[in-house]
Amino acid sequence: MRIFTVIAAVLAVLTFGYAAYFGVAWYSASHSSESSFAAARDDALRSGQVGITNFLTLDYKKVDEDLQRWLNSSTGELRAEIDKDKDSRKKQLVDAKSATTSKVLDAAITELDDRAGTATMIAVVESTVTPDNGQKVTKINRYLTKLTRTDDGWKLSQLGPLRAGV
Amino acid sequence: MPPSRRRPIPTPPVGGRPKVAGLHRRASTSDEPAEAVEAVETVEAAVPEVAEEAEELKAPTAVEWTPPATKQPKPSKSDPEGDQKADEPDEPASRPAWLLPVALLVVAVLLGGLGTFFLFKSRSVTYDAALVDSATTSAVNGQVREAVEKSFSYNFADVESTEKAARELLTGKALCQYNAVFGPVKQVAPQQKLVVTVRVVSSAVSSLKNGHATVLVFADQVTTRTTDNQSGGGTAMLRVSAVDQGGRWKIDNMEMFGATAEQNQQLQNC
Repeated sequence: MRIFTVIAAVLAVLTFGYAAYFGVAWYSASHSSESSFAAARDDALRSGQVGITNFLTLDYKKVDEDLQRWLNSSTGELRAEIDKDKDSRKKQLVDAKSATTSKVLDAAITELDDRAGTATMIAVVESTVTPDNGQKVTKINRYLTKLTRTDDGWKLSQLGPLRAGV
Repeated sequence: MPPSRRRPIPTPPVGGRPKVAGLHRRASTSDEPAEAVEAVETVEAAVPEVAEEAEELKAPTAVEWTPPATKQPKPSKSDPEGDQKADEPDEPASRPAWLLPVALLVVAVLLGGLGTFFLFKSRSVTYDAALVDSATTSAVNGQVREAVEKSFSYNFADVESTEKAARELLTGKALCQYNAVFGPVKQVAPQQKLVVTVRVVSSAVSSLKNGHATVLVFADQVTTRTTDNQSGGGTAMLRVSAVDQGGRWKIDNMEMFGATAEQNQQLQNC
């Protein structure tokens, strides 16, 4: 009987070592600086895609809602800009009498400074503009946006189309 | 004779105490254990609990004893231990000898399972190296930019350099796609004396894993017809796949955003 106890004890010790080794391996792998940088990149990319979609989606029938969403998705320079021209922008959108929906086809982060909390992203966006009484038009455009990390996650701090010859 | 003397002496206190206990439970509990221990035949851990229950009813003492008994069913589940039990029937009476090895085996099996879980978890922690591996990322980015610019820029006076670039910098499916996209241009180029200049405006590595990379490329194209100096421009958005071939990243697949249905058809046929 003692031999069984010894064998079982040895097995228990060995499996403890086995579990401990891979427990540490898992922990260190998932907490390395590389994987946290990769996580920050994915986070910025996801937020950037959502932010761009928010900014390029609008409906003249609910401009207030759209402008509020723009403010919520932006920070810094971009937010200040929208806030400043809020009224003229609103009038402009209402007069245009059209609704736009957008979809990000592909996007990638060109630069990421995890410590400073800034990133730059490029995106291919398909936008469909539907005028009040007219045929809808679908276009594919390219955008460059700068992202800044806030307490509330990554937000757009700059956004502009990349036109030809830039 | 001695036992008969001893018995009468304890019994009166036994009969007397419960009455007191019924009135003042807290005070009496300290005395009760002595009684309980006698009744249940020297048990260690459960004594205080048993004593409390014993005040009200004697039946609960039996109920209290079921939890320790549950330790016995566990080993019976593991069949290999059944043999050992048969070999040495003497020991189970006090503390079963098979209890320790069985417990250790159970622990070993649990730890083994946990370790395997950690093993798979640690293996599955893979992250995309895009930007994380900054040296490789910029190498991929630069080489893909160069490949796109060189193989899509075209000068009617120097056809050879474009074709050489395409052969060297593209591979597999991308060569076929290149011919599909650039074939029509090549046909009209000599007679119109075309100069096509492609410049990558911006590009970013979106994925970098196991020697494969995906790059999003924004390019501008300026086409000049030198016969009448007419220029036209356009923009292009490409998703390019690149593969590491002996230290050189070569383009092996291209997808165009905003391409015409005809162009997409040609690309897919490759």
